[in-house]
Amino acid sequence: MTKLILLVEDNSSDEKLALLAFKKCGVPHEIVVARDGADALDYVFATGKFAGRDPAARPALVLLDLKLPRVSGHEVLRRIRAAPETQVLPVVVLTASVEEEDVLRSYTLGANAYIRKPVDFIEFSNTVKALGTFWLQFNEAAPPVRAG
Amino acid sequence: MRPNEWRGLLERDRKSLRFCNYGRWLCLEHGCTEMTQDTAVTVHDRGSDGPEQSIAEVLVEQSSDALIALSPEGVVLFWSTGAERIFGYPRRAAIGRPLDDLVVPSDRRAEARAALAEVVHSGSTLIETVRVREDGSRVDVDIAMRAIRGADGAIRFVAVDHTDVSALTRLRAARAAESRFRGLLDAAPDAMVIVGDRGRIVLVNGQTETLFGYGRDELLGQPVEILVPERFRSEHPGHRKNYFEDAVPRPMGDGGALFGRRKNGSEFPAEISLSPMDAEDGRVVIAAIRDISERRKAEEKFRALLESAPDAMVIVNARGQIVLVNAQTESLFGYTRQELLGRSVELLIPDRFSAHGSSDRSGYFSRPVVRAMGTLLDLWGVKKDGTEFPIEMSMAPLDTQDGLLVSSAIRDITERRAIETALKAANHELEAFSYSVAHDLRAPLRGMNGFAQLLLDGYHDQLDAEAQDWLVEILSNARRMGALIDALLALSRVTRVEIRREWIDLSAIARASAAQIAASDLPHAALEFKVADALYADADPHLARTVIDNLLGNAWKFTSRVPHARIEVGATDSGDQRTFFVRDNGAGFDMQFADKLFAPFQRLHTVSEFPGTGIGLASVQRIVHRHGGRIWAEGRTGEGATFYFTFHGSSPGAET
Repeated sequence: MTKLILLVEDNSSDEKLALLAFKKCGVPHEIVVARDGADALDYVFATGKFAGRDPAARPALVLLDLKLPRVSGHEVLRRIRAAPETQVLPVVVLTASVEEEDVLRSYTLGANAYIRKPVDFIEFSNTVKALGTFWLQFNEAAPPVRAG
Repeated sequence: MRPNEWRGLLERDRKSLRFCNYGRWLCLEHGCTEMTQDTAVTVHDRGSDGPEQSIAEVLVEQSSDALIALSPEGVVLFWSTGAERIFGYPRRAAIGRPLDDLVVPSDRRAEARAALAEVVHSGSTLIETVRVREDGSRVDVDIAMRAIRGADGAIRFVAVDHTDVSALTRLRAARAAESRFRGLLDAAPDAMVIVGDRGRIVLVNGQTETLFGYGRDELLGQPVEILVPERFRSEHPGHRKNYFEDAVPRPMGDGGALFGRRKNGSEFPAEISLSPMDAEDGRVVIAAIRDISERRKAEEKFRALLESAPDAMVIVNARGQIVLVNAQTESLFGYTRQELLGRSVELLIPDRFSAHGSSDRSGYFSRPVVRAMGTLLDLWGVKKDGTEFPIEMSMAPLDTQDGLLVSSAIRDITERRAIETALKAANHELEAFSYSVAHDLRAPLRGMNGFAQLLLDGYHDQLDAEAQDWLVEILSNARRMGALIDALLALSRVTRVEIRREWIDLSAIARASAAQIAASDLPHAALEFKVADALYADADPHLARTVIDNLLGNAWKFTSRVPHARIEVGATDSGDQRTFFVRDNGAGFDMQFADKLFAPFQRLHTVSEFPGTGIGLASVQRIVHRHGGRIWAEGRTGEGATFYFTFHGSSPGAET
């Protein structure tokens, strides 16, 4: 079964590069892109413009940037962890920031991993490959949680 | 006028005695012994008389003595102008009354009766005694009495002449006292003036003569006001009288300016203390007078200095009372000088700091040295209207003759605080800006690098060697810019992060850092790496690691081409100051560029020679400076470099 990845990314270059890197990683997947924090939340909770979506079909992995329009990455993370049906959803922060404060805050809010986007594309490809292999192939996902 | 002249003043005819007064003749009827005022005195208007009578008139009336005629029983028959002046009773009130009732004090009645009896018996007598004036005050007198008899030998009246000898008596008393106290007084350092109850000088010492320029004889018996400047003379007797009534030892004046006047009219500022002394002949007051011209001059100089100070100066005694302030204090705190003097200095400190302030002050009095406060402490002042403002204060002890005082120079640093706050905010903003710039710069860089890489990978076959080379150039430039941005971020972090000092082992840090560098860098042909033991330092552990990482990283880098590389980490001690160093025998540098070493983006080698961003030493310098320490380097091209650094300035704890 094809795993679903939600990529939350506002920079179109970064989006393209990420998609290309995932394409090369060799793990079967489907990627949905949300270009700001509000869209990301709407997708996860099947609200707003994603209201028609089946809310039970949750992504296997959320790749979350921190600097986002409308709703920040930290706020997206906080709301995902606050809802019982998504509190165990794997969320990996993928960002340019290495500020200690950003890292600490992300982990405090319940991020599963924190990855800095490298400038070098080869490095980035390797990172994505490792990410995909780990989260989509090796990692045992939590059993689905019923909305309650 | 002496008693033997008295007779000549009496004009006699067969029936009466005539006395001259106010151009009229008073005639006492002969033989009249039971007299009332009305019956005894008959006034005849005689108009102007012959020259003989004029002489008698002038002599009697102009005599300064009290000339009185008494009946043998002691009733006043005649009362001269001199008597009016000395005793205060007008003639009309005196005539017809017993002299005893008028002027004889109760304790001298017996003596007076005895004298009259003596005159009646022997014809004349002389006594030296005391009489009372109408106002109750006493007067020393010499009395000459003579019985005047008629042709029949019967006493017609008794002529009594009172001479006021008060001044002489005082002078005599003064001389007696002087002989007693002279030695004592002359030994005193101050001019000592002893004053009697009527304000006359009874005794002075040698210092008084020197100070005021008068001879002793010029002062004795004189009113003490002779030593007071003319402008104060009129009020002085009032003050003097008040003091005599309520005399306790005390300094004169209410801290106001006192002056003495010399014989030549010149004046000098004086300090005068008074103390009463009750002698057998009445109360005297001893005034000790000191010329304080010199002290005043010194004080004025001090005051001028105080006024010219740019800061508010507040001088406080050991009890915390304000004893001196300058004009700047008045304008800064909004109080007038009068409102501050004598008040507690706590008045100028907000209530919430008062307790702290007083313990601080007593602490200061126990160990007074010049020191600055408020550079590290958060100090506040409070104005009269209650507004508080931040201050900086420095204190200095003043050892004066009034005891230990503390002078405080207080500066309003409201403006500086505002500037500091604004600067801090601006700095913070700048940091946030540079962080965000550095952060956002990476995104397009990723794009450039990423797509160049994709082009190189995906279209390899369609690109010739030159095009591929150019793409590789794009990639390496983007990577290098990424490294620069990373270094900038690191530098910015070093500036913002809070310093947490603890005791750290720099030896261990150096070994750990070297191991990490050795693992990632190309190995040396031969390396001798030496770290001294027990290099303890009081510094932030993370930042110290950054310092060592950078310095060792440089040492590694610059010795990479040396056949026998040596790197050493150690310390030198001088006094209580420990200086650490990192030394290598690598490429070194030209000392004329030593000042460029620590500037961001300054490099003394090309990237192709030795890779690097030019940020490492700038970060190291910032870390050292933030610890209050110093960093400097020595080197020679081709012979290696030594970097020295400390984690403390000359005054430990100062942080910039």
